[in-house]
Amino acid sequence: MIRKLLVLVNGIREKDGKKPLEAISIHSRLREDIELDSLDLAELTVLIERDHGIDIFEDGMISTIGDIIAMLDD
Amino acid sequence: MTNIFYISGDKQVTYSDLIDDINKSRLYYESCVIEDEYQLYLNLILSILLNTKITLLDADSPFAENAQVNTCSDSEPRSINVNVGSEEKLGERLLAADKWSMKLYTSGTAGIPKEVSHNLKQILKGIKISPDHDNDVWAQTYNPTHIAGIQVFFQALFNMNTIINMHKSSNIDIDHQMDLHAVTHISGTPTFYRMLNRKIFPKVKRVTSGGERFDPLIRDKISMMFPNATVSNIYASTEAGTILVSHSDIFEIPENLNTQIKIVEGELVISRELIGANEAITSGDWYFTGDLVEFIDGNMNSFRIKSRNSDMINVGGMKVNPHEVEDLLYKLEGVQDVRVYSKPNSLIGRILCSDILLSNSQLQEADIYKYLQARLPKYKIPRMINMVSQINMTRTGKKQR
Repeated sequence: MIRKLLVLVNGIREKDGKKPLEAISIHSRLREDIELDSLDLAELTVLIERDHGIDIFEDGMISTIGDIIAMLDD
Repeated sequence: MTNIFYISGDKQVTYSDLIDDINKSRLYYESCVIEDEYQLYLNLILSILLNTKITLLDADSPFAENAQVNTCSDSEPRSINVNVGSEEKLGERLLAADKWSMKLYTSGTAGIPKEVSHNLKQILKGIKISPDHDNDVWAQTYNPTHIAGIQVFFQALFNMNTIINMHKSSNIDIDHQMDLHAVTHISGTPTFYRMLNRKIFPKVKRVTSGGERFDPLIRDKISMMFPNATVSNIYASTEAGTILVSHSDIFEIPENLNTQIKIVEGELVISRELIGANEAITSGDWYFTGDLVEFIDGNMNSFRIKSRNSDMINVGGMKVNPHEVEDLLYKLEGVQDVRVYSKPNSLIGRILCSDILLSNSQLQEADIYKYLQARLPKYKIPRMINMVSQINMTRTGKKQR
């Protein structure tokens, strides 16, 4: 799951000309560490919903990769 | 020469046939969904000859749910016996219908569909009847239950011209029929013209475009395809019919209408004198169209339609005009057509998306994104870019937003 999320966030980062991250962890913060802004996060929600059928931001803010995984595991 | 009224594929109906069908008709349906275009025209003509009311519905209309289709087993069809002696008498009787009224529903692209009623005087203000139009041959590309299609129909009927059904025809059919029937007049949306093959039609004398923004690229394509035609850009609506006509994307308010059309805070506003009867759609004496304009070079009488209020997309609090993004994408080589729209998003309200139709190109999503990135701020760039085989339209042939 973390590997899949890494592919997704790197795809989004690449659009902004940012270098791909080599690794992320459950503690990685979406804004501060992965450097995603609101537009990037909005895209991430669409991609995750497309793959998993879940809107990760539906019930409030998601801050870390761990929060996303927890949401998808529920 | 036999005067032909209507052609659809192999079906041809002369004006003489039409008069026979009028005289043989024994039932009239005031409100009915009629999918056969000729039958729809026949019923509409009967309503005028009977000098009575009619409601036009199409099968996609949300108001068509309770209407019967084609067989029109309407609970109250009216028994009739109409006698028209000749084509000349037909024309006279049509013009005398002072109590006739037609109810339509707006497309709903700006909100919930609304009911609008027009009388003959209002419809006739948008058409020209003269011997100069005796031999016109019209391509009907619009849905005939919508205002644009109705105006083409009336323009052709009151001049006893021929109407060729090209609504929902493929490009190959359109090319063939345009040549076969020597079409002289065609009216369509910019999206319709954008989708056409780049064939040249030297016999066409008049091209009208309406219903969407008329950008320089589409004007160039129309000029190339119809080199001998006068090109008009029409500003019209279901509520008002044809209001303004231009030869470019710039409109001016004509002197005779300058007390009935004005711009209020950048929005085009029309006097209720010009609007089909409907109390609900006017605010006092004025109807606010929802169309935003931009003035040209500080001239308060020359303007361009910028967008519909309802077209603007709110992306995380920032307003995006989808036409601005589309205009840029049209300039990218390899892009044949594009639709920019939005989807709900729990984080930013709406997320900007685009569907791209390529013309024999290998463009990738990343190429398109990079192209836009060099020209637009990030919030105006579609986050979701989809390569599609066709662009989604509304019932009126406009892009679905």
